[in-house]
Amino acid sequence: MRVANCSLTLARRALFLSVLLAGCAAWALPKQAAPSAAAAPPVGRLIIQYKTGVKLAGQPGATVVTERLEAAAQVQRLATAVGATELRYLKSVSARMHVVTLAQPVAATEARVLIQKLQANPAVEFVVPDVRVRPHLVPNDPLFAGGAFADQWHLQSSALVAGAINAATAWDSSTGSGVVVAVLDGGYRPHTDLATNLVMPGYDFINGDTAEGLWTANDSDAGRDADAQDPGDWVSEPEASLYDCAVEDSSWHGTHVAGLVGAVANNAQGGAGVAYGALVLPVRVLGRCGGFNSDILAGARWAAGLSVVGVPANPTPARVLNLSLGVDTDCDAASRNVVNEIRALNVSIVASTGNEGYEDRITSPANCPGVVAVTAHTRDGDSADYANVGMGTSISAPGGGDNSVLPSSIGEPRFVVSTGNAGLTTPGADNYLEYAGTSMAAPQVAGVLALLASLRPDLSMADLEQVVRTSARAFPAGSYCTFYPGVCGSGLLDAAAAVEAARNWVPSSGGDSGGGCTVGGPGQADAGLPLLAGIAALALLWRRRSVVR
Amino acid sequence: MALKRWCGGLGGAGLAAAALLSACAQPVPPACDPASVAPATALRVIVQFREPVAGDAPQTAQRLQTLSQGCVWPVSSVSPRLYVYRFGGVADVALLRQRLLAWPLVQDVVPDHRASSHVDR
Repeated sequence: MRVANCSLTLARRALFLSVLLAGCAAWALPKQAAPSAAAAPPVGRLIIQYKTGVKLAGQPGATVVTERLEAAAQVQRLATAVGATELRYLKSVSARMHVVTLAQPVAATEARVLIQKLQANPAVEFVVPDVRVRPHLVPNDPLFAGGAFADQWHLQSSALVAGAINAATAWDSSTGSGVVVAVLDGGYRPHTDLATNLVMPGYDFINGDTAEGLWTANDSDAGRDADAQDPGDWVSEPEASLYDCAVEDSSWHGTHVAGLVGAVANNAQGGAGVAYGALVLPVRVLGRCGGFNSDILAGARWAAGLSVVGVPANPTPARVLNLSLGVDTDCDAASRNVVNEIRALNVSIVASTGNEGYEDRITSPANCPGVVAVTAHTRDGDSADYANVGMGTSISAPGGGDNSVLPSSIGEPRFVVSTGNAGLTTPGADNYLEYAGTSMAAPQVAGVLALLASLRPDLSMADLEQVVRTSARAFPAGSYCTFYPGVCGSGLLDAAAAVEAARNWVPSSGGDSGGGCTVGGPGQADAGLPLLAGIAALALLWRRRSVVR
Repeated sequence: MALKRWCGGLGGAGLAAAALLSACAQPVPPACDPASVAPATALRVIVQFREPVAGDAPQTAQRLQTLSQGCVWPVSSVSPRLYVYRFGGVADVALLRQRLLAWPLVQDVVPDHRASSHVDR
């Protein structure tokens, strides 16, 4: 701060401080939802039921024409009697029940007054708004079916599975239609339960490096190219020692994550993505032994619609970027720079916090200001033992795996299932794979953001992120995150609550509020020995199981 | 000329390259050929410039090479201000950063870390 600022009077300083605090509070605290009456949809139709004994339409012997004429006349008499001349007969539900329309829809409060007038007539039994009803969308995908015992437990009602996200209720309002979610990951396989929701061919950002050739990319393309297909990311024993990484079969991680966002629903096959109406743009940035941060940053810029030298413009820029990846460092200058560029375009960046089991630290880019940092919980809503938490964590979403203090649900699905591939090295047949990790949690938040962006395209992504955070459910009593409030973010992801909150959300007048103030407080690991320290320190094994369907 | 041949041949020399890297770390800037193959041990960094530059232009690479007192190989572009390079013959990123920051156009130098997926292993 320069010397000139020190001449601020006390009053001015107080004003400045209060404005600053108000700005932070507006970001950090739940916004006031609009009053429910104002939020209720306008009423354009009413259903009127007459009492028995009243001469009505539909009497024996009446023709359709005379019946309608009589009903219309009846409604007209009633309307005149109560001074509601704008009512017009529309149709009959039964001999005593008729539907009437208003000249134009009126606010719910106004409709209530009219209904009271009509119900005051002695011939009328009751009057109710003829509300628009939407189907409770329950996809016919077999992995979704089964309620509490479903393989896709993470999408179920939280009344059945405490850690689930209430996706089906949200789908009644939005499936993410018209929104593009970029998945920056290991590329994709054209899985039959995913392909029609992919923006193919995507783009491969793994750049050939003269020091290692195309080993990371593991394809024959020279550097960046318009083919984000995943050729496999297996690492053999000799390569593992040469490149200092673990021996692994191909993971098909990108296909798994993409399926969690946007697997095709209602096709009687496999499962459903959280935002199955959205489009998934695959951007390949991970290959063998991961990928370089520079390729991830370049891919993120391109996905958001920014230009990258030597790469054609992205014809389908994304509104949400998902990064189920990271590196255990601080957010460096290059990452901050790119995050700021992308945020300025009104694009959300969702990143997983990492799987080291840290209780006071999350990885980059999740720790970059402006990034929605997602930790993971198990099916009963407890923080997963592998999931990093700490300052900057925004929210928790289902990541599967094991936990500690809450009663376990032995025998019920615990891992997160999604689209995969059977190949151990090169691609094989489509299948479904079960994984656990914060990698699985982040795309569910990205998916919910897509639902909201489709429902409320007028809101900024910063607003929608705030909706997601503030609509989160409380962590279950006795769970890790209740012992260490703040480090796990605002709560458990709840798609239905987020959709409901988005309906009534008043747009913020300010700009991007993605950075600076965090919902989650500072890490509290110093406060005492965390309950799960020993468990978090256990060696974590690769847990992958093929689902036989 | 001898240094040029050494640095230019490092990439194909496998493990022997590491042993020869010290040759590129001589106080006098070596004349490495940017078109040659970088050794796997060369530092991979992201250089952030204060304003848009032609990061892969020969004159930019030459300037960075001189400042680094090592060998430079352009790798890729992230944005008009962010470019990726491999540097050979420099002990660590901190030293490299210190040297490159002597150029006012260079705002920062960070390691190009290798990130990995967040599946629980």
